[in-house]
Amino acid sequence: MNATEVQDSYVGQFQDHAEREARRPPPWLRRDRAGAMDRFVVAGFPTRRMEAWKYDVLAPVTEEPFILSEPSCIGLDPEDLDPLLLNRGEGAHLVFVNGWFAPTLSAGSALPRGVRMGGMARRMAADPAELLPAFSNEEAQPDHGFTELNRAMWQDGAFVQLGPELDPEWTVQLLFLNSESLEPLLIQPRNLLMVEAGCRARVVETHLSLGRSAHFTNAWTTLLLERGAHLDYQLWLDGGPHARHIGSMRVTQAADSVLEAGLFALGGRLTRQEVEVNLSEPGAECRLHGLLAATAHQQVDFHLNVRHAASSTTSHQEFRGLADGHGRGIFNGRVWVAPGVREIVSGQTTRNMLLSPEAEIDAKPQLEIHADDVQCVHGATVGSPDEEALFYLRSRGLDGQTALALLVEAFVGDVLNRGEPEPLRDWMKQRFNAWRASP
Amino acid sequence: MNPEPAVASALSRSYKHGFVTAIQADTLPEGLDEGVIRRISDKKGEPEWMLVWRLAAYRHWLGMTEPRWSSVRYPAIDYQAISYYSSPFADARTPVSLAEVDPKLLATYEKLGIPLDERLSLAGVAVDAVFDSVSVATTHQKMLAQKGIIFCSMSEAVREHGELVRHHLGTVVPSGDNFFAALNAAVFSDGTFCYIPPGVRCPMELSTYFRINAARTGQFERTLIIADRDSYVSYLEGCTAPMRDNHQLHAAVVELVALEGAEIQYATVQNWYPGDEEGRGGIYNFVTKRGVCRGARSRISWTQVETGSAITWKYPSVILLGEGSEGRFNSVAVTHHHQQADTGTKMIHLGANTRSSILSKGISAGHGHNAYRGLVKINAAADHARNHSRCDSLLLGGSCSAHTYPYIEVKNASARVEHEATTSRIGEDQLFYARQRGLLAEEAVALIVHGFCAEVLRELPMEFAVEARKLLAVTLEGSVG
Repeated sequence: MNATEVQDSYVGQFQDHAEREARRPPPWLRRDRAGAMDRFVVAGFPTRRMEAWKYDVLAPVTEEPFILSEPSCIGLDPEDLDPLLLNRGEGAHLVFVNGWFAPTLSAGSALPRGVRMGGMARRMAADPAELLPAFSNEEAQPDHGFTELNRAMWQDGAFVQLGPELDPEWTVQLLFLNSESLEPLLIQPRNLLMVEAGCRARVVETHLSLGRSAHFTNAWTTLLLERGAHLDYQLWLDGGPHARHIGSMRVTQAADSVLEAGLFALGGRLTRQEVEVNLSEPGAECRLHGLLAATAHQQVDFHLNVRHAASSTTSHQEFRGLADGHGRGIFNGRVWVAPGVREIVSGQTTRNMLLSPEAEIDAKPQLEIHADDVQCVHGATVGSPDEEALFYLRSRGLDGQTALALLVEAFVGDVLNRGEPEPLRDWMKQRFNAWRASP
Repeated sequence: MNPEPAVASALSRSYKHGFVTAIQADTLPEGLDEGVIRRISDKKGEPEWMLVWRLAAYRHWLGMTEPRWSSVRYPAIDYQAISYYSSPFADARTPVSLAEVDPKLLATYEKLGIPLDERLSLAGVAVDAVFDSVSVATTHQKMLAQKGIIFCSMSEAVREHGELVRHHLGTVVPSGDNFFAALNAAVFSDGTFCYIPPGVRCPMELSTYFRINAARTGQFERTLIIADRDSYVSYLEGCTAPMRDNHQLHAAVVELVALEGAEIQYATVQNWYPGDEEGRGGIYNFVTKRGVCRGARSRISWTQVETGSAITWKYPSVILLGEGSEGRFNSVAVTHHHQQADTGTKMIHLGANTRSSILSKGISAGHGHNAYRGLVKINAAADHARNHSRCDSLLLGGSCSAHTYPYIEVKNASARVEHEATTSRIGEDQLFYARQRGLLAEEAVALIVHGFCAEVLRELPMEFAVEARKLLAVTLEGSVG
């Protein structure tokens, strides 16, 4: 199939979907969906001729058709999820199967005061007026065909609201699980996370797979941090070698809020995660770190866009890239400073390691500065493991493979070891090692 | 930085090369079609193959769209409102000796500080002077010929050394390479040709001085430099234009070919008219410059000081094909008032053990817009390739902007690529220190700016380094505050 035929198939599915939609959506949502579909038809999928997409080979999602997923029963018991869950202490987890909220699998200690969470579809059915502002904000719209597709046909997702009295140790896990399926599924979560003023919270979002079926997750997440909020957010994309994942996340930070975010993507046939952080009021700060890793014929792309729209805002980025086999890692990190703002501090480091002759890394750190009271730096490196370090380790009696593994561990350790608390860190390292060991 | 009105108002910027030479010119009417290209080719007495090449480029250009991906912004250019040929020689015949050249022309170059009389000229620099569309004179040719060096205008080279030109022309920048290169290939009128034979170290600096004089013309020159095995040449390029209220287009192409063991050093001090303080007028400088290190151990270095032009848009590049070849790019780009610059380089590593280094210093003042855009590409076959890039931007004033867009593409695991960039304004503590030692604010800024650029200026030949320092100071006058 070519991209036009795939696009047409989505138009067809959109019409079916609109007719079948069980809970009648409010008129504004119907209009919103129809408008997005019209724009998707005009815009189509992005192509490599577009600056922001020049390194992405999009054929795995634009030349294969995917079928919109339906709520399904996959016969899982809550205990089956144990290896996939992080919470050993206080907290809650929301489980989504093929993008649909699964209340029977979701659980947790009693929700603390001021915390609301659940499936987006239910929330929309219960109180559409509450979601109207977040959903109809045109400015919050990333502008490409995939987000239009999500906007037109999103089905469910996570709704999380965290209040100020939350215990900072109380962790929310959003577990997105993809099951084995007969047809390649299109999964379109639409997530909304709100952290209220003065709240300290921890959220871990994991995308994992139970089978080896191909699926395409096209996610759109909105993150709102109110004044003085502090969010520790970890995104873990690990959907297996056949996963296609295109995620767009937009963060808006109010005054004195702090976002500490870890972004991790392990392989996938095609993984592209966009993160836009708007530091929209003075004192807002974001610290992003992460790892992108690709092997075999995998392609992993991080697209970061930090926007300093207010004075006295700070951003830090620390990223690692690893490419093995025929894998391809792409890092695009943009820092934008608005005209007229003052006292901006921004730093960005991306270090990338190539482990095989066929692997490729494309890095594009960007600075766009429109004000003069700034201190902005970035650094980028691409190289292979240090020969001298390898030689040293081998001279101490380690075989070549062990020596290399040690260097890789140290290399990714810079970002993997930042995860808090310790069980999360251990879980991450374990998943990473499993990924490295997979054929 | 807090405005210091006293300093700001005491200073005003001047563009000292902004005069116009009143001279009879043979100028083609505005507009572009195949007939214009045939007439340009005819005026220059070109062989048939050259015309065929031009027409092919023109037909290709017709199917191309003007690129819009860069960060510079300008109103649409009307390509039919430009005259594509203007010669200061009314009878279409190039003078054989300086005695035949109109004294007004010689005086123009005298005034620009580039005397064309060999007795008066700077010792050790041979000049090819290009005025609008044609080369006026080329100095020291005889002396260079004794060494086997060919240094002449492109028109002369096409007539006298046709085979050599034909063999290399368009091999580095193909005629359909990009929109402006295709336009240049179709209508290029003159430029410099230079060939250094095997084993010869060129005994003097070669240089071209470009001058745009006529109104509503575009300048489209093409330069081709070939350094044969184990030869060496250092080449300088300077440019100026009169002050006019409308924009003029300059779309040049420079091709460098370095064979085994050869070295080419190419330096540019670009001082086209930048427009006035409100952004009226000025040159659109859309240039394609590319060199190929074809042989093993060959070296090409680009050094540029970009102070002029309303818009500068160029990426001097090196294709590192030969094993162990080396490419270097050193740049200072200054934008003041409403100037825009989107400049940088491309280092394409194709051969094993190739090395490249990039050093870029961008300075923005007033409403200036300065972008570094560079590509470092390591292809699969380029084992043990090495690159280091450093891009620093300095901001003077709150209304300017500085952007950095490095592209790093690595397809070989043995490569080592490093990139670092900083953006900041002049440190208050640096200024304070300089001022408490008795310097005026303006002097302190000049001192810090020179320090910021010193690493690049050091790469320039001596005469040019002096010129570049003066230019920097003049360009940034009035930027304090």
